[in-house]
Amino acid sequence: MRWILALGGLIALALTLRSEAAAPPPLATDTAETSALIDTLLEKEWADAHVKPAAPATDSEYLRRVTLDLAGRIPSEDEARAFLADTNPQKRTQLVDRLLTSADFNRHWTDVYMALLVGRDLKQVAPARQFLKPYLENALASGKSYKQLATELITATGRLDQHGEGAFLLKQARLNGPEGAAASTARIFLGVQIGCAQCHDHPYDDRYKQTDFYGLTNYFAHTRVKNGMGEGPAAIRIVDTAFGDIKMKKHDTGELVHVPMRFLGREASVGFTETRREALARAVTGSDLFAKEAVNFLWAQLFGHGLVDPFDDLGGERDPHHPPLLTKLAEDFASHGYDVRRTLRAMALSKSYALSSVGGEGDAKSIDRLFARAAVRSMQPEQLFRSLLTATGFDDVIAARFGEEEAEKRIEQGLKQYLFVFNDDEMSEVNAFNGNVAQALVLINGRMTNQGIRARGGSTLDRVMEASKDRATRIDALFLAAYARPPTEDERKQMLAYLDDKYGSRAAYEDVFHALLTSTEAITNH
Amino acid sequence: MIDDTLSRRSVLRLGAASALAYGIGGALLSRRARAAEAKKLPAKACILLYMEGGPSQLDTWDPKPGQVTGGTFKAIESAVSGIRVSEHLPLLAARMKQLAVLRTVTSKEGNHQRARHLMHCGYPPQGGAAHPSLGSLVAESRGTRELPGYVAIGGPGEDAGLLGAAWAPFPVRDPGQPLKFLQPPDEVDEQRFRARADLRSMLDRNYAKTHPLPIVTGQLAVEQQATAMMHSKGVDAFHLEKEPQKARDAYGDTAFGRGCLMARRLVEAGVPFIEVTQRGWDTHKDNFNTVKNLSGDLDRGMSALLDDLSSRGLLDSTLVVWMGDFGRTPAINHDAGRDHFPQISNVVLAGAGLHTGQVIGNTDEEGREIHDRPVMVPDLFRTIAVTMGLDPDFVHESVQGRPIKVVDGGTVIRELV
Repeated sequence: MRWILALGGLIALALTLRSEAAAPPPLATDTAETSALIDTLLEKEWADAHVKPAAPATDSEYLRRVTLDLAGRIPSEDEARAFLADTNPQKRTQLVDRLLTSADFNRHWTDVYMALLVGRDLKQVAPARQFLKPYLENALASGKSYKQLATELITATGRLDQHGEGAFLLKQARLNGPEGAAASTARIFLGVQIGCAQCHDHPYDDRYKQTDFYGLTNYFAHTRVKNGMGEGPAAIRIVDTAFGDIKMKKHDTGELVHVPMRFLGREASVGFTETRREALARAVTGSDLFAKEAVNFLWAQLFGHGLVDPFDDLGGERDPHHPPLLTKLAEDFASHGYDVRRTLRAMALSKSYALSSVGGEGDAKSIDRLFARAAVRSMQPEQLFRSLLTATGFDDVIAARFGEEEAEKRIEQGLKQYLFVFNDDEMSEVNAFNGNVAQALVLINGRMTNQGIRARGGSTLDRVMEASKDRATRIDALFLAAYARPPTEDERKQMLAYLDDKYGSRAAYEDVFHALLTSTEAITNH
Repeated sequence: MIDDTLSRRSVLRLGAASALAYGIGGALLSRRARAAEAKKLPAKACILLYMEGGPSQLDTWDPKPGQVTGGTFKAIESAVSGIRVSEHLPLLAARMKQLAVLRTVTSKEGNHQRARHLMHCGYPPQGGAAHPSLGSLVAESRGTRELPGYVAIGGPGEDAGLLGAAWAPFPVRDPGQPLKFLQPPDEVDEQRFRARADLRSMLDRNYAKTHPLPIVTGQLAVEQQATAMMHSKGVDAFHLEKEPQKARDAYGDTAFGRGCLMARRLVEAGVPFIEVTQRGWDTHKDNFNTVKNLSGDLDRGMSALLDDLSSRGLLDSTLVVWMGDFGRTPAINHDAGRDHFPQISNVVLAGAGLHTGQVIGNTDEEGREIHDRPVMVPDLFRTIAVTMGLDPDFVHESVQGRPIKVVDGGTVIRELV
């Protein structure tokens, strides 16, 4: 019986989520124990630190947050209305499952992993966007295990148009050669900041010396990038030769020294029939740091910062300082096929994820550090962009005018425009729409908000104006579209006063909607 | 220009002399009286000319012609007897009296990203410590104004870290293009714009009441700054077409030249920190042709800037800093290039009443080693901080609660001040 209801819900929502999901993988739903583990271990931390957690999040808060975190956009007005009215006690579980199997999930997490793997500097990553993006979309849509993904990224071989995963190494090697590839591989897949040790022994972690850095770099020593020879980026190839070694320049004497391959302080072993990079992929995915880093990254995406902070600085293998929750979640991840969706489900359905972003008792720093309340965070630029599309209904307007495929292209173009105000810095934790002056100007005066709210032909404002003539009802609808919640009494009164003053003109509604969409509540994830 | 919105914290960070300059006295001064350091008035503005990629010192400010490491350039005499520079910087050579050349700046960071961070923040990157950039520190110390306090032209600048987004660099990707998004679309007249701003303020204030967090309250400040910028006359500074052709020619019709011109206009408009990036200095291959071309644009742009600041009486109150990621190897590789060499890099300073017309620190005959007077990056940053009226020992707190001083120790370079 429940399945029929769920299916009905799914169909209803398919109308608002514009494209259907690619054949979704069977969703792993055995996550209750993992969610309970999260809650139990965090409760212990809170007790030890003498803090009390915030109250549970309201339906509005939860809906908006989890839709942003899993699908990379705010919920639409219709989704908000439906969810708030739904009396089914399982509705949050059903919501999460809908989101995890949606096309928006694939799109959003492609954006997230693209930013992690190659950053956002558009000039640098043009081939990456062209080839890595479809590869990642496919990987996510087909539920590829993260272990398999990492292996493919590290061992990518052949032409870019046949092996889009090669764009990762291409980008990393382009600026800093095999040293860059080694440093990025260690940071992204192991949470080890070994790049610091390129020019000198690690400044504050004496586990890693310069020899360790070069020992790691030598895994890439046989790998070459062959250019396209006039065929363009599609024909760029990554190949492995049988020779080549990177020598280390000793910092003090400048002498060039051969350094044997090393993996994080251990001697390396290359099997008889495997290439160096295959050996590296084996070593990376076999390290306890691999699952830990994967899980820590996912945690940071949902909770605002990692269980270890910064998210990509885990220190060393089997470090006794790793929090027990991190270790247990990593084991859980590894023993269930390195399934990203499954771990996200466990996190999103934990009680700890569903706390309010205000409240909690005790020392404010500890409350934030220990996740005793939900973090208020900036959105990632793609999240903001897609949220504005959803809120204004501009995506529906474009789709109606140009068809789905063309709409996708135009949306991608518009997204690039937005990204120009964000500089790339792969070393930073998360590139965010953190609201500096340049970004504020784009938001307030740019096309996305201004054109978006005015658009005719199926936009949110069109529909709101048509659905009811009552001003208060229309205000409520606009609040739902922008905030996923109805207005307070006071807010409704103030907005009504403004509308009445302008005789309820369409322009006045545009002003109200614009103010809503550019306000801090609308542009933060809370 | 006195900014009434300076917060008490900013005053403490400014140090005694600056507080005097900005007209704040009494009880606040006595807490931070550092009369010994504060002999001069601090500079009002700083222009950072950032040579992205790591500029070769042996082919610019510290030539070694005739040596095996000297490369193909000749050296020319400058206006200061005994100081020679690359033949491709003749205009700057003629202005050597206004320049102080540091030939022995040294660091350990030979990776671009790490070096950029070090040379913008005075610290190498350390996980969990969101060091603010120099530009953000200067901007924050001056407080809220009509224009952003840190403008980054031709490059991204470096972010504000723990100081928050309000002090992030304002990017101008291409100084030749008009700034976008400074005006609302045509259908939104001034009245509607105001109405929207008022509605938004109401919503934001409510939200800040229930969510009293820095990220939220910071947004209010940013929005005010954005609106102020839209209505400020100072925005004209970004419009290079308002400058007579003669001036534009003097700086050169190049991206860097335009950037320098914009920097001068922004100084006049009261912006306290402007960074102008010149890209392309990472010369692992074909070093000499590349550096020759870059030197042409640099020579023209930077000398026009010095001349302009001087003739407008701005040079004494403006600090000009020329630097890059790191230096380059004395050894020339088989691609006729030079590789990363953080051990020795050059920094050139001008303006702000510093003692110029001199070289500080000497390298050996071939430029492989420092002969005397090494300068560490904290020394440079302490000197810049004091010149700009920042308190170098002020302690910020990182998000994780770690104390982070504005400058990581170091000693002021006495020969300069």
